[in-house]
Parts: sequence; structure tokens; C-alpha cells
Amino acid sequence: MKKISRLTLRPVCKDLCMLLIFLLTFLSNCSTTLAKVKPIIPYLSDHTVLGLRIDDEHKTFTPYLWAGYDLDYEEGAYKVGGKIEIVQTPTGNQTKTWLDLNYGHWPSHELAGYPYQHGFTGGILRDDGETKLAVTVFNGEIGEGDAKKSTADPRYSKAIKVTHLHINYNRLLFQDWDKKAHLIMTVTSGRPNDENQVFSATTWTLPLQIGNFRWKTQAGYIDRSDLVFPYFDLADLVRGYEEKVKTGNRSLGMTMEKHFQPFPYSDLPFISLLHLTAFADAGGVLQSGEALRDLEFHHCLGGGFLLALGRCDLRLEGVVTDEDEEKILFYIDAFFPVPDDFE
Amino acid sequence: MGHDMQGEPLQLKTDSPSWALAPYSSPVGSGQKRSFPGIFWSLQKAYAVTYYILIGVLWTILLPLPVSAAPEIKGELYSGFDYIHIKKDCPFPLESQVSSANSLELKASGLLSGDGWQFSLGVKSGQNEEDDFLSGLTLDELQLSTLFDLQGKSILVEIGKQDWQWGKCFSRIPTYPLPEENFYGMQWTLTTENRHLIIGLSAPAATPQAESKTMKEQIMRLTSHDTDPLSAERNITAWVRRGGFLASSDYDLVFSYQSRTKDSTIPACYNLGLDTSKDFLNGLEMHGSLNLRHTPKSKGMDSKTQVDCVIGGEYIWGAKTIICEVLSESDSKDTSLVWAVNNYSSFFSNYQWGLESYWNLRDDGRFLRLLLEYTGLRSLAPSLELTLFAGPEKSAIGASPVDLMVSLGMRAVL
Repeated sequence: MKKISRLTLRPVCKDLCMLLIFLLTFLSNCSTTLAKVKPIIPYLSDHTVLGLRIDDEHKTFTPYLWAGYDLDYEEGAYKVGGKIEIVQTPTGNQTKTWLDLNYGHWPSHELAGYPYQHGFTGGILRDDGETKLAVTVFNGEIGEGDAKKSTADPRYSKAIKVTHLHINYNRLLFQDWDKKAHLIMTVTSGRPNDENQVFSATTWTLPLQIGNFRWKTQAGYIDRSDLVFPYFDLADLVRGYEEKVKTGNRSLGMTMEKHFQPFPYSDLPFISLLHLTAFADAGGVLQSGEALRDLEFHHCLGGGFLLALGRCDLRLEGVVTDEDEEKILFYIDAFFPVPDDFE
Repeated sequence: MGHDMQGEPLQLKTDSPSWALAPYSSPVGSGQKRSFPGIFWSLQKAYAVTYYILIGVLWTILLPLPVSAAPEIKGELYSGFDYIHIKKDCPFPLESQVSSANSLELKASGLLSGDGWQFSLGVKSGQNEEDDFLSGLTLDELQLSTLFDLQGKSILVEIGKQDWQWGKCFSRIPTYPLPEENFYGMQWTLTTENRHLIIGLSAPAATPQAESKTMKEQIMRLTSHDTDPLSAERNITAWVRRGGFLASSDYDLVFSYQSRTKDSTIPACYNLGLDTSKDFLNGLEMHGSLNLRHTPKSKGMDSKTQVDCVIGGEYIWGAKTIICEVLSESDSKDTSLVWAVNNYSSFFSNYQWGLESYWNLRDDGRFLRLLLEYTGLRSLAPSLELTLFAGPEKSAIGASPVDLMVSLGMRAVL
């Protein structure tokens, strides 16, 4: 049975007011030029929303409206806000800094278990070509949304009012013609508005690509409060495992992957983008209260096809886990993810 | 929905164990978090207000500033994981644990228009299992300084919140009466040809020693060399320093006074000390510091005088610096040997490493710390820190249930 999200029970007038303010600001700002309408393409960044965005990136102050449908969670998503752009060129490299303020109902991967956030987000974003940094403060409700994947766990079914700060640091460590390495650090830390306990989630991800070989290491730690209960999922570390079966508040995972390009010089459409893949994942999660010696590493082996689409890959894979589970997976994935704020 | 997730218990919060606090227990001030200025108290409770204040500042104050008038802004993000290993025979119900600690620092500096005042403003926020970024937001540093010319003599005036520490000792500076923290205060420095007179005043407004809530903070306290953790709880600390430079040496005579707070049981005290150092101009430098602390008789407490001294040397050998010091404290009757080797002075190396050891010669408690940092990446420095604790159970360090702490960190300059 599909659950009714409590996020949708908020007074509609507040959202309409926000929309009205946006439209007024937008019209006053775009008196001479029309704003651009662009598509929001899912899977290119850290969300799965298909929709349209209205903004004008050539202005210093840009009001914007993003609206669409989340293919993963099967619900509508939107955000309205304004962005001020400051361009600096201190040492030759152009550095862009944005001040962003928005209100909306938008998917978020900052706290696993709470895929949707509804409220105000304000922050600073900076991109110097090598480092992408986003520091945002969120005030509003986090919850499951109308997720088809919503859990029966009452801890996640209720939207919770929180204030938290999120930091996303994405650094290009190395880049050569066939080598690339990133470091991605994310920290989310805050408190529920009605509770004096803190929650936080810290993750480090180190994706590395050398030619046709890929290696990714990731580690994470979560501090929970009584009301906010994020988790790491083994399914995100080791392919083939069911989602939300093995979860914990500490995680460590590794992925090795080798690609083979069978037809690199083919003139047929998409064929030159096709890769054969062989991979192995290993990882484990620890539940709160468990000691490090209790860490059980799970692993999987698999192979399949990969269609390299640039910023993301379309994948069809068969996988066997250490628990002899066999699975066929079809999904889109980005090995070097970029936060959607930088789109 | 899987069975494991449903069955997962809520995270158990380990209460601060008493073992680490015991040697430094404070009779007052523990438990209550005191910070200054008071506006930051409200940040802990009124999150919505915090949020709107932050956004308001960003959108209304910073934005209208023309770029040329904008101060220089620097930021630093630290993200780290700590592993604390508990001894097998630990009598306390403690488990080895992993935790994360993150901090964000922002610093703005520049010139105030026209009148020669320099300013520096630093805001720091940290996240650990007790604090989140918003409630942990503090004004870490506030410096205002200017140089006055008075009949050919220059007077440097400094006002604000900063670390007022002086001296050259590595382990501890006995003549400096405050812990290594930033405190509000002001200082006047009168400099003549080769001599100086410094008058300073500081008002500690926090009790950082008593506020150590996380296990890591308590361990770090154990490895700090502050012998008087209560000094930060005194009301006013005032100092006068008179010193100068000779051909290859310097000296500083220091007198300081720390008053007692109105309701505190911690008495006032007077300090008289001397810092001196001699550079042999062949890579070797020797230094010493001696301090006499007199606590007058007060309600329920006899007067007492304690003597702290440090004598040591530093030898620069290529890119390496070797430090050795002996620290003697008459109050605790501790004599400690501290040594360190590091390459911190090597600016062109891709690695920075340091090894430091503390050995209490009285109770044989000791710890060894290894620091390794890779500095070959621009604006990003991964680091590894290992601290090993050893010693008999009767020693302060050996009594701790922790025998190893590993910190893996990533420091990013923004």
C-alpha cells in the first residue's frame, strides 16, 4: 500500500506564496530578456528528477524554478529560489562563487533514510575548476516523501523538522589523459528542532580511474539522535545485496572494475560507447554498538555491459554475492558524481 | 524492509568516563557550557533564528561590499576519523570506538578604513558526537591591532580574542599562566631599540578544560602539559613583561596576577618568572623558563608557593629539528622528559612528519605521538596521527583505559 507522505500535508498556501514571490522577482529581473528553459536530466548528478528548470545563468542575480518528477521515488519535486554569482579570476583560473537561497521539496542524499527535504536551503557554492565546494544550511522537514521505497519502519515514516549544515567538498586530485582521481568528502551535521541531540553523517569517497581500470574506496560514519536515524546500506557498497537489509552507522567499501571496449572504432551508433565490464565489490557495515572486530566483509563478483554516456554510465550486469545470491542489475550510475547545485 | 534494520538498537551514547577527568577534576564550572558572547547561546536553541541570521548576513551585509573593499577571506575544512583502542584488561565498561570529527574555520582579515587598524576575525565550528556545526559555532579569533608612534617609540596595541602566549619552550611555558586557548584581552607592547615592555590583560570566559566531553577531548587533555587547568576559570589575568635582546640571546622577566572569580573557590595567585634563550649560531639553541607561583592564604586554604621550570634545547640538523626538554613541577612533584624530532621547518618537502614523546620520570607514565602529513597536494593535506600510551597503572597516563589512538584526517584549504 502506498503510504501518504506527511510532507504533502503541509499548508499549500505557504508553497503558493513562495511561488508568487519567485514569479514577481523573476519578472522584475527579466524585464528585457526571457529566461531560459532547460531540461533537468536525471542521473547526471546526485538526483533522479526528470523535469524543467527556468533560469538565466548569464545574470548576476538569477531567480530560478526547478520542477520535475523523481523517477526513483515516484513523486513530484520542485525548488524555487535565487542565486547570486560572483566570478573571480585570482590566478588565471576562473573561480565562480554562488550564494544560493531556495525553498522547495527536493530529493537529498545527505542523510540516507530521509531521501526528501522540504524547506529552506541557503548556502555558498564555489567552483574553481579543480575544487567544488558547497556549504549549505537547511531548515525544514526531512522525510521519506511519497517514496515507493518507503519503509514500514515508523522511525522514517514521520517527517522531522531539523536544521542542519551540509558540506560537500569535491576535489580533483589528479587528471591526465587516461587517469583521473577525485576526493569527495561530505559532512552533514545538525539537530532536530524539537530535540537536543545531534546527528551527523560523514563520508569519504575516493574514486580513481586509470585507463580502463576503476577503483573506488569509501568510508563513512554516522552519529544518530533519537529522532533522526540515518544509515549506511550494504547495497550501496556491494552490488547484489537487497536494499535496507544490512544497514549500520559505520561503513567501509571498495570497488574494483575493469572495462574492455570491444568495438572502439565502430561507426555504428552507440557501439563505440559499449564496454564489457568485470568487477568485484567488497564492503561491510557496522551497527551501532558493534565493535570493529565484528566488521564482516561481504563481497560480490560480476560482469556485464556498460554504455559510457559521458557523465554517467548505463549498466546491465549480472552479479553473484558471497551469500550465493544471483541478480541481474540494470541501472544508471555516475562514477565521479557532481552535486546538482553545480549543474 | 529487512530484519536487521528493524532490529538495530538505537545508538548507545557512552557517558564521559570518569577516568580521564579524574586527575584534572574541576570543582566548579563543569557541566555548564559557558561561552561568550551570549548570542551564541541562542544559536544552540533557536535554530530557525540561526538560520535566518546566517542567511540575512549573507544576503544583506556581505553582498553590497565592493570586491576591492572586501577583506581577505580564508577557510579551512577538516574532516577526520578517530579510532580509540581500549586496553584488553580495562576495568571500565568501555569498547574501542571509531568516531568522526569535522571542523570548519573561516577567517577574514584586512584593514579598517583609514586609521591604520588591522583586523582579523575568525569563526570556528566543529562537529562531533556532542556538537553539531550550528551549536558549535564560536567566535574563535578577533584581533584588532595598530601601531602608535609615541616620541620615537612605537606602541603596538592589540585588542581582541587570541592566544596571548609567549616564550620558546616546546612542551609548556611555565611563565604563561593560561592554557593554550584564545581568550579575550588586550596588550600594549612598547618597543625601544632592543628592549620591550609588554602589559597585558586577559579575561578567560570559558572553561575548556572542564568542557571536555568526548573521549578524544579527554585523551587530548591527558597529553597536554597544562599543569593548572583551573587557570582559565580565574576572572582576570594581568601580566607585565620586561625583556630585551642581547647579541645572540634574549630574556623576559614576567610578572602576572590572576584574580579569583566572585563565587569561585579557586584562589587568586601571583606569578614571577623568567624566560631566556641563547642561540649558539651553529644550529643549537638553548632555552629555559622558571616560574614561581604564590597562592596567598584564603578561606580554607593555606598559602603555597610552587616552582615550575623547563630547561631544554633545540638543534636544527638539515631539514630536521631535534628538541629535548626537562619539565619540573613542584606542585605535582612531577619531572618529565619531553623530546621531539620533526621536519616542520622543511618547507619544500612533500611530507611533514613529527615524532614526540613525553615521559613522566616520577610515575613512569609516557606517551609517544607520531604525526605524518602529506603536503604535496595543493590546498589538501591528508594526515595520520598515532598516539601510544604506556606506563604502570598507578601513573596518570597508564591509568587511562586507552592505549592507542589513531586519527586519519583530511585538511582542505578553501
